[in-house]
Amino acid sequence: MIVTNKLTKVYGGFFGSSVLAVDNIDLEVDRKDIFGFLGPNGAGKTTTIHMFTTVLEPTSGTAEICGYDITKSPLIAKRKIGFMPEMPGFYDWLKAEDQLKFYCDFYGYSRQESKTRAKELMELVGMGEFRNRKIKTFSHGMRKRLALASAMVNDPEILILDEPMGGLDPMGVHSFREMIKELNRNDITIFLSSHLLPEVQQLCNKVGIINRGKILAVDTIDNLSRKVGLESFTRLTIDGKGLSEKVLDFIKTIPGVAEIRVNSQRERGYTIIVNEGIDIQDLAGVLNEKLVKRDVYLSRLEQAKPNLEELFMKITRGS
Amino acid sequence: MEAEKKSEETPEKGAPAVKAKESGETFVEAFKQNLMGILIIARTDIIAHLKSPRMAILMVIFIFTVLSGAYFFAGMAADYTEAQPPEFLVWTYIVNLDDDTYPDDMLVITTDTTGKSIGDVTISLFHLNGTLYEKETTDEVGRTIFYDIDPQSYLNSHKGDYVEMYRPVITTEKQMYQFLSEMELYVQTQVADLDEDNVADDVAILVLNERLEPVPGATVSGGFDQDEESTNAYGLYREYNLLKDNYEYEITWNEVVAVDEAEILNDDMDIENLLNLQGPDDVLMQTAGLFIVMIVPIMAIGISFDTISREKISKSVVFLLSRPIGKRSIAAGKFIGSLTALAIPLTVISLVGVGIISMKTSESPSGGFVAGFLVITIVFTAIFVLLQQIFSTLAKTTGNAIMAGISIWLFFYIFFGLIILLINQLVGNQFLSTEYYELSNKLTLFSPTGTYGFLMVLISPTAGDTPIGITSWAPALSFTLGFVILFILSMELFRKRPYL
Ligand SMILES: Nc1ncnc2c1ncn2[C@@H]1O[C@H](COP(=O)(O)OP(=O)(O)OP(=O)(O)O)[C@@H](O)[C@H]1O
Ligand SMILES: [Mg+2]
Repeated sequence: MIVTNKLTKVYGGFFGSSVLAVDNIDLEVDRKDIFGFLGPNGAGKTTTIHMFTTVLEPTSGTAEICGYDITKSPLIAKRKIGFMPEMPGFYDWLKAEDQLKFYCDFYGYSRQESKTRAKELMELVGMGEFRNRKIKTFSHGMRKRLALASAMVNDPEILILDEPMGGLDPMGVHSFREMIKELNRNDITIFLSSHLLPEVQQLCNKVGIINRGKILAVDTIDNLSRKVGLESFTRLTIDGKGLSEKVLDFIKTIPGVAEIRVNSQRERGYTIIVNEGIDIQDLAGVLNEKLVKRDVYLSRLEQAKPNLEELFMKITRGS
Repeated sequence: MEAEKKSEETPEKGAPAVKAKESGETFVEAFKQNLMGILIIARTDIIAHLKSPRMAILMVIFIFTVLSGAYFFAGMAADYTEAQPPEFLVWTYIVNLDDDTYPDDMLVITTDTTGKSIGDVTISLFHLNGTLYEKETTDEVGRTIFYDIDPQSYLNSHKGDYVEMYRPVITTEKQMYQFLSEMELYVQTQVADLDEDNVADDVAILVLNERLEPVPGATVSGGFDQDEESTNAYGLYREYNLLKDNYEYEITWNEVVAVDEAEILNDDMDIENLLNLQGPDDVLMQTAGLFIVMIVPIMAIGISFDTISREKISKSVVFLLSRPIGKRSIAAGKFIGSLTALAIPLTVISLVGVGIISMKTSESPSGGFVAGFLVITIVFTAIFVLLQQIFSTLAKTTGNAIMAGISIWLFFYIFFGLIILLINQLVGNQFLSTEYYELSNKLTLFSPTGTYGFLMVLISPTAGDTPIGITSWAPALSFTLGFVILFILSMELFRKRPYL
């Protein structure tokens, strides 16, 4: 859905010093992805996003949106995307609904269609009651919601969100997360930049990490973690009087169990390493049921997910 | 604006997209979309501008300046009386020319404006009620005499039915006779337009001796500049371009002194004479040339100084740029929005002005002139809106944009004239010489303010002469070129500038 080839942006340079904000990046975002674009402040995320949305022209390289080159067919490319800027600005003197109708007009909606669409979108972002309020009276969170609605007017195939949850309260973050998930379920590809790593971890199936204009990594969070040696694991600790070689052999036969290790003297018991992709709760249930009568019990259940924050630090620090 | 109605309902995707062709964008599609975008942006801006308090303030300024200007000028035009240079002067002296004892005879002398006699002019004497009393024709030395006129008031006229001059004939009385018979100089004064500048602010004094012969060399002294030293060979003394006043003066000849007086009612300093305000067309032209040319740039600055910078500062431009519309089209839409928002009230108020002019002068300016005036004024507005929009695009702050706008207005309105003066001096043209005018007019074509004035003169039905040194199409070309260049520049600069 988004493919870039050596996309580069250099700011300034004519008189003053130039800034290489985006440096030859190659990215690929697939259909139905929720792609998280991560990087420290000043890494070049907003610049990249502005090139996707033709707010900025690339210095060199290309980007394609749904197969359309953003410099050769900008108008078609722009019809495919919905864009929510980092700091959304509106015509503050308009009512929220009128602002949406204004944006609708660019896509050739009829007056009636615009009206319905504006109303629907205000409901969608949970702002139905503020439809007829002037934008100048809106709070930051309300502006963010209106920005999401503005990005949705053309029912885009790709939604590009620059820091959609920045500055929102926990409730706001939660509802934005739910909205984004819902939109993705409705077949919309999502490309979002964010600093809220827990949210990215919950939402995104794929992340790209950028620093100083360079892409450092693009992959699923799990794959990236493995690459940098941050393992994910799930383990259960068992103990009890009934533990014997026989019982241990029996446990090994239970589906999902990968390995059994003896714990240290102090910790006592055994650790069961679980295969990837197994629902730990289910497995615990099965084990409990089968082991209780043999006088063995589950003493601990540990699950270590790769920590995106750690991952992020590791990758960006390494560059 | 409702571009194309959706023919097929796509249940999943609500966007009625222009169907993307696999090959990419075609020119026609892009053009259509951009045009639609331009109209959307323009429409939103027009509404916002028209509703804004700023527009109200600007229009109050405009109404005050332009309508009061038109009102006063029209009033002056209504009062305007244009003097015709006299074909000849008719002098009348009531004297006793026959053997009776009454001064009831009238000597009539006809001369040209130098005092030289003109013969063969028919002089008719009318009763005040208009009926003819008597008719005489002047001889080859320009004289004739009506004898023994009944004591009454009369009007005289010459050349058949054309009445050039009225002069009540004094009723004859005994005392009058005695006074006249003691006189040694006969002096008569006429106020007329002798130098043919259409203002009756010149004085002619004909001096005759007691035998009613012209007196050369009589000196005239009093409140005059002394354009001439003394009466000429025909006994005539002239003084030109006097200011409005009552003049008393003495005529001295051979130690004989006579006094007379003249009253000048109109002079060159009358604003209606200065501005040549003769009719509604002149009023419209001068209102445009003096007031509209000054105030329209202020309107343009006031409306468009922040059209671009406001979008940049509020970052709403980012949203706009991500819509399916080209950057140039955004600039074009902004321009058309500002221009239309200005042009609507300017046109309405101008038409009200035309109405005021028509009422005051009880005559309408010609329709073609009004239409031409509106078109030229809107292009003039457009040029300043574009200039201001360019500053709004380039300037780092809104304040800078306003300053740049006011500076360029001052530059064209005031400094450009000084620069023209300076250049003339540098190339050594004498002030007010033909070369001076030619060069000045050529240079003025580079100023929208000056070119506006040229265009108004050119299309005016009353003052349609091409200024010297330029061809008649040059001002129109200058306006068109200026507009096109600025329009392209405003779009290209918007495209090139960073927005964030
Ligand atoms: N208009 C501009 N002119 C010059 N340099 C710029 C401009 N905008 C951004 N930059 C520079 O480009 C680099 C990338 O900036 P960008 O805004 O893309 O970062 P970002 O990843 O979005 O950061 P943040 O997380 O703070 O939003 C930075 O070094 C920044 O200083
Ligand atoms: Mg950013």
